[in-house]
Amino acid sequence: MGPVVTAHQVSKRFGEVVALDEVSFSLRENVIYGLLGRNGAGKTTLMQILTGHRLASSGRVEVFGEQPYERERVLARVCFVREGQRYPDGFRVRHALRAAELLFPRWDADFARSLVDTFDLPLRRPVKKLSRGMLSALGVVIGLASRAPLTLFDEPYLGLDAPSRQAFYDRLLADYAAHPRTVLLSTHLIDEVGDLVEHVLLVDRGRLVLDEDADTLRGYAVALSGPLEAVNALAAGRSELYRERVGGLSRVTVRGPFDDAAHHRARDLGVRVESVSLQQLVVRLTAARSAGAAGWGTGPGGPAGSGPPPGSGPGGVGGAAGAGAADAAGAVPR
Amino acid sequence: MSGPLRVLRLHLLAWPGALAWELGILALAFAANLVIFGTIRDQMDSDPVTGGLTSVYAVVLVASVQLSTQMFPFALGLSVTRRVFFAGTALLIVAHAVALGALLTGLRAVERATDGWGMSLNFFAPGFLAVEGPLGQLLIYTGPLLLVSFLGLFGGAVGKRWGQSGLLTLWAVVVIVPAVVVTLLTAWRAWDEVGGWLAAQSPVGLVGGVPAVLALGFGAAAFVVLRRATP
Repeated sequence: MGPVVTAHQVSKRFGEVVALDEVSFSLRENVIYGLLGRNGAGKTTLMQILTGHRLASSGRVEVFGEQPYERERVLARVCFVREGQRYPDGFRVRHALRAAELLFPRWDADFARSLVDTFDLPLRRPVKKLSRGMLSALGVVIGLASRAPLTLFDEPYLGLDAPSRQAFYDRLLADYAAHPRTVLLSTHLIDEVGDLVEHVLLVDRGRLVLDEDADTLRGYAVALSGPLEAVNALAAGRSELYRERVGGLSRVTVRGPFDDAAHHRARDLGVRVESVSLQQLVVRLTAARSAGAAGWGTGPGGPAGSGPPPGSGPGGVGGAAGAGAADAAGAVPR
Repeated sequence: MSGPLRVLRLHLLAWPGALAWELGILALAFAANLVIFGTIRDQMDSDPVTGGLTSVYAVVLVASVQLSTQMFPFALGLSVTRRVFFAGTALLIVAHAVALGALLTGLRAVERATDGWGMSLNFFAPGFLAVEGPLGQLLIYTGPLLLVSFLGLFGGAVGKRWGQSGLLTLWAVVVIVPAVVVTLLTAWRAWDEVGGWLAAQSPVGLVGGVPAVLALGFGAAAFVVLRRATP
């Protein structure tokens, strides 16, 4: 069977704003995808287009081989759990679940019940009176119990506490193992889903800057730290993602792979080599132009506050393959 | 079950609450009228006339706006297409208008049988709303119900698609169009003809038929607007 989703040069413009800029990718059957990117990067817009909630300004989208807009037999196999899902006034939790049961052909009521227990959802409470976390949990229950062959979660964990988020990841993985399907999960909490997602799509300012298997990404970049000369010698010929200097020590993030020979050489030169976590990689790839405003080890959401300097338009990041390379110059602290 | 029927059931999931509002307001308006006219009946020269029935139409209008602003985004979040949502919603509106119209027709029959609840009160059919025959009476209730329902659906759809600016534009149209019509009729000295035309219409046609036709127009407009709306 072909890909579940194909997007070909999809663009979306809202007046002057380019929300998506010629995004192309495909989603394979029965893979969990992470859709990463900063606030306003275009993640939600992309999901809306994939589910027929919006129309692209240009480009082509196919879901299960057909364009999804107003296509019943496509949407019957799709579940989109939106971040700001509205529920009608007067609906209680049980009404919302009953509605989902009515409309999702693969709905599993027993599974839904057990999820309701897990998240401690009050069935008789009006949806309006739910806390932000409970509202998210309701969306998660609907998304999981729908068993839709293509399930999209847009920031599903807002307001959820850590144990509930963990429960979401655990239940998703367990049910995915028993009932494989394609999942697209947009999130800020990159490190939390690092072990969950099998493939990463990274969107930055409307452009797709990374489309890689998570395994490949683990060796995608390394951080070299040590004396400037030694670090420079090691970094030579590699594309730089980020550079910072503390006193006489330099720290440079470069693209991998970093093989055994390179590790030996690093040891000889007295340079420390650290692997770069998925989160750090995403921060480097999407916040590089903020010229060091985001330091190492910033927690989730750290880069959100560090906007790009005025005038740095899009175009710094090349296609998926050469991602980040072009950013290196802008990343060097002045 | 077909898509539109599933949407109809979706609408009816929380029906006790919605029904309670509608019938509650109706009962309240009716009770208030009974009390007021029961109290002041002795001081009145003529039979009491009341517009209390309009309260039901107001409730229906508000509820219909929410079909677009609340049920539409919810249903599309559950992977319903706009077309199926509209079909199921139109089913709901028509079934509801007929059912509520039938209820009012029944209550009107009781009102007549009891000589206006024992105090000549015409709550359910004041003035020219009263016609002979249950079918005509039904249409007199159902026509305007259809109109306010599809009007509400349309207004809600405009708000959903274009937000505040869309609603303000709609208001401007609502204010300007009648003003233009009145001005033109005056300029053309056409009031006599309009009056003649109105007088020539039967109450059922004027109060039942004309709103029903207008409802069709607003329904079509609501569909066109929702068709490209983002939930």
